[in-house]
Amino acid sequence: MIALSVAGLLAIFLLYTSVAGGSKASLKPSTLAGHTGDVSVTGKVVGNIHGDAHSSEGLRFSIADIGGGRRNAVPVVFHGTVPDLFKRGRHVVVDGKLRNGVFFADGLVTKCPSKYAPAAKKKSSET
Amino acid sequence: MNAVIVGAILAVAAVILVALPFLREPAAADDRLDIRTPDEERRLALIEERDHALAALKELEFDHRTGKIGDDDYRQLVGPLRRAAADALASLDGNARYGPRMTQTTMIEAPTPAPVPEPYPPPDEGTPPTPAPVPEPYPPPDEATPPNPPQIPPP
Amino acid sequence: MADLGRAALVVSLGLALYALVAGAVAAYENRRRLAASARNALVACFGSTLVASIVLGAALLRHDFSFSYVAAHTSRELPWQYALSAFWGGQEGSLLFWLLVLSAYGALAVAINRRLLRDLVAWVVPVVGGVATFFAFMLVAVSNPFETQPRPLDGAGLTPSLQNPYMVAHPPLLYLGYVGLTIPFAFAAGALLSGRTDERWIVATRRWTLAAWAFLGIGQLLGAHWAYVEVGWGGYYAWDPVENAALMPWLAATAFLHSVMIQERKGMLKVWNMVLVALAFELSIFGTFLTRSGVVNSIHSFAQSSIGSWFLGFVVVSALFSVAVILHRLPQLKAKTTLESPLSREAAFLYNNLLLVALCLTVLWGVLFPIVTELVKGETRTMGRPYYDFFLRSFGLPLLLLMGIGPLIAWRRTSVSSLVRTLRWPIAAAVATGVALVAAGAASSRAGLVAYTFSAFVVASIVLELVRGTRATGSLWTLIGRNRRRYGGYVVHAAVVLLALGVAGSSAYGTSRERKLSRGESMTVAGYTLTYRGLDTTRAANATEVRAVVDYSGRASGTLRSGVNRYPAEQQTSREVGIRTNWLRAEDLYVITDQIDRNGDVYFKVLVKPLVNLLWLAGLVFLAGSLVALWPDAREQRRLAARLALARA
Repeated sequence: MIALSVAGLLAIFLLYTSVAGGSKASLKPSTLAGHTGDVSVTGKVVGNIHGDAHSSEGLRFSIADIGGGRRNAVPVVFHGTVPDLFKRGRHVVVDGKLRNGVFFADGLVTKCPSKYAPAAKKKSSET
Repeated sequence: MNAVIVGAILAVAAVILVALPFLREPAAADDRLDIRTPDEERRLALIEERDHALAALKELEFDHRTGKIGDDDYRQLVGPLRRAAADALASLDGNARYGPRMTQTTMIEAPTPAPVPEPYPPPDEGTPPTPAPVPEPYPPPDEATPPNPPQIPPP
Repeated sequence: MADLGRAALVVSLGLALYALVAGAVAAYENRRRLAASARNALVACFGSTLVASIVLGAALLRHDFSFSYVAAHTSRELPWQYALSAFWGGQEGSLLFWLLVLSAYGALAVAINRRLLRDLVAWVVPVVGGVATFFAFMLVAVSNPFETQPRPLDGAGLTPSLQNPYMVAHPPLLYLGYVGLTIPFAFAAGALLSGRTDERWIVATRRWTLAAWAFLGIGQLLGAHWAYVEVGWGGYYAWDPVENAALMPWLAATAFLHSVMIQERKGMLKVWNMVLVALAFELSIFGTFLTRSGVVNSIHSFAQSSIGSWFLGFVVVSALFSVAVILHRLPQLKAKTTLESPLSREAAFLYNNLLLVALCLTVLWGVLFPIVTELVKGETRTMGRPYYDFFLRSFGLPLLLLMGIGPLIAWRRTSVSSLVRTLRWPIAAAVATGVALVAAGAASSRAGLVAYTFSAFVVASIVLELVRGTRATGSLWTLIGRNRRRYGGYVVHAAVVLLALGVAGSSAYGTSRERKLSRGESMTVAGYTLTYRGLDTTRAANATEVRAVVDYSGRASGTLRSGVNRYPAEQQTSREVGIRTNWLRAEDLYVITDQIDRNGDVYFKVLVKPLVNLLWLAGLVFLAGSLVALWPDAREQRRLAARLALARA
C-alpha cells in the first residue's frame, strides 16, 4: 500500500519536472529551423572545417543529417574544447542556439564511428 | 576436415549427455520427481520455524547486549520470542526428550526479571544456532530469588 | 574453423531449447529422468558454447582475418591481450560471451542446488533454458560471430583509447554482473512456478545475487575511472544512457539485497521481492537493449541494427511472464506479519528500498524521456545533468542518512527518544563535523555540506557498531567471522560513504579554469600556480606524443605533462590529460591540453578536484566488503545440510 502511494507520488513528481523544464530538445539539422532556444543537434560533419575554437571567430564547420547526404547542412560556429576524434564524417552532437541561420554552439561531443565498438566517449565541456 | 569431425563429436556428445538418464535406467520403477513427501515438507517447515525463532531470539539478545534495545523493550519482547521458540521445538519433536508438551496455560509468568547475562555467544547472521540441549521454556531465573521448581502437569 | 564455431552454436541452441521444453514438461509432470535430462542439456549447452568461444578466441589470437569479426575489431600489430578483449568488444562476440557466462552460471547453479531444492530447481532449468534459447537464437540467426570473408591484409584495429587494462576488464565484469542477475530471477520464477514461495530460493541465490551486484558495481567504477583518466574531460560519469543501463539494475539489485533481509526475518515483502528481482533482471536485459539498439542518442553507440527489436521483444515477453507467475501465486505471497511501527528497522529497510527504487525509476525515466517525447510530441527532448543531479541529491542524501540509522535502530518498534539515545555519538560526530566544515568554508555548497555531515554520521555509526560488537564478542575477528554478511555489508556502507564524499567533494567543491598560455606564462587555480614551460615531442611505435610540460607549485609542487597523441595510421588524435594526485588531500590537479597552436601557445583547461580519489578507494573498499560478505561459511553449510537430514529422518 505504502509502496503504491509513494510510487504514485513519484510518478506525478517526475511528470511534473519533465513537463516543467530541465529537458533540452534533441534535433536533427533538417528539423532545426525555427527553434530559438537552447537545443542539441545530432548530425554528421560535412564540408570543410576551418577556424580555431579558441579564437573569437570560433571553429566553423557544417553538419547534416546522418544518412541524409549534404542537403540541409547547417553551418556551425563552435567555441570551446574540441574533442578527440573530431573530423569530417564524424557523428557529433552540438549544443547551442540557432541565430540567423547559423548555429552557435558551446558544447561539442563526438561519437565513435560505429565500426569500432564499444564506442569511445569524447566530451568537450563537462565537469 | 578437423572442424567437421570435432563438430560431429560435439553433437554426438550432446545427445549422449541428454539421453544419459534414460540410458542409465531404461525402465525406471519410480519416475516421479524426487520431491519431499508432505510429511517431510512439514518437518522441514517446522525445523525452519524453529531456526527462525531461535535466530530471532539470539539477535534480540545480541541487540540487548550491545545496547540497541533498552531493558524495558527487551523484557517485553523476550517472553513471546522464547515461547515461540519453545513451541517450535516442542511441536518439532513431541517426544519425552524435551519434557512434556508445554502449552500456554502451564507457563509461569515470572515478575519482570532482572537483566541476565546471556549464556549464548552472539548470533550468527542467518545461521540458525544449534538448539540448546536443555530448552528454556521458562522465563530466566531471577538472580535474587531461587528458581521455581518446574510444575510438571500430571501425565 | 568458423563452421565449427557455427555448428557449436547451433548445438547450443538445440540444447537450450531442449532444456526449456523438456525441463518445463518434466517439472509440470513430475518426471525425474526427464528433469535430469534437461539439467544435463544445460551443462551440455555450456560445453558447446565453450567450444564456440574457444574457436573465436583462437581466431582472435591468430589474427585470422577470414573471420569478419576478427577483421573488424583487431589488427595485426594489436597486442594479444587487446586482441582477445575484442571477444567481448563487438556486438556478436559480446552476445557469445553473454551466452557463455549464462550457460556456465545456469549449469552451476542447478548442479549445486539440485538436491536441496528439487522441485524448485526442476522449474529453474526451463527458465534458464528459455533465456539461453533467446541468446543462442540471436547468435545463430541474427548476429553471427562466425561470418567469413575473403581474407584482407589487415584488420580495422581497435580504437587507441580502448587499448588499456580498464577497458579490457570493464565489459566482462559488467557482463558477469548482468548475467548473474538471471540466476536469482530464474530461482524466483522457479519458486513461483513450483509453489515453493518461502525463503529457500532467496537463501539459495544469496551469494549469486551478491556476486552479480558486486561485479556490476566494480565494473561501473572501472568504467568511471577509465572515463576520468583516458577520455579526459574531467568527469567520471555523464548520465549517458549506456552508463545508466548499468546503474539501473544495480540500484534495483541493491534494493533487493536489503529487502530480502526483511523477508527472511519477518516474512514480509514477499511480493515486493519477487517484483524487485524481476525488475533487476528486466533492467539488465533492457540495458543491453539500450546499448545495442541505438534507440536513444548515446555517445556509446554500437552499430545500429534490427537487433534492438529482438531484445525489446524479449524484454516484453519476459516481463509478461514475470507478471503472470507473480499474479498466479499472489495468494501464497501474503505477508505473515505487518509493519508495527514507522520507526523500526523494518521501516528503515522499507524507506531504503523506496528511495533506491525511486532513484532507479528516475534514471529510467530520464533514459526513456527522449523516446516518450518523440512518440508524444514528435520532437525528441533529452534530460540533462541538472535533472539527474537534482534527484541524486534528493534521494541519495536521505539514503546516506539511512545508512547510518539502519544498523542501529531496533527491530519492530522504537521511540524517538531511545533512537536518539542510541545515536547520540553519531549525531554528535555529525554536528561537530558540520560546524568544523562551515568554519572551514564548506558552506559554499549546501548539498556538499549535507553530504559531508551525513557521511560523518554514517562513519560514526559504523564505528559504534564495530566497537559495541567487539565488546560483546571479545574480538573484532570473531565478530566479523561470525556475522560475515552483516559486517561485510558495513564495510560496503563505508565504501558508499567514500563514494559520496568523492562525488560531493569533486563536484560541489571543484574548481575549473581555462586560459591560453605562452611559454613561460603562469596561471593560478585554487591554490596551485601552474607555469607552462614548453612542448616535448616523442615518437612512439604507433603514435607521436606531444606533451606540454607544466611546472606547478602551491599546495604541492612538481612537474606534469599533458598533451595529445597523434595516431597516423588511424588518423586520430587522443588527448592525454595530466593528472597529479595529492594523496594527502585525495585531491587531483587535472590539466587538459585543449589546443596547441602552431607557435607553441597552449590552451589549458585546469581542474582541481578535491577528494576525487576517494572514489577509487571506495572501489577497493567495496570489493573488500563484498568479499567478506560472500565468504563461504562452513558452519552455515553444515547447518543447512543438518536441517535437511533432520527432515528426512
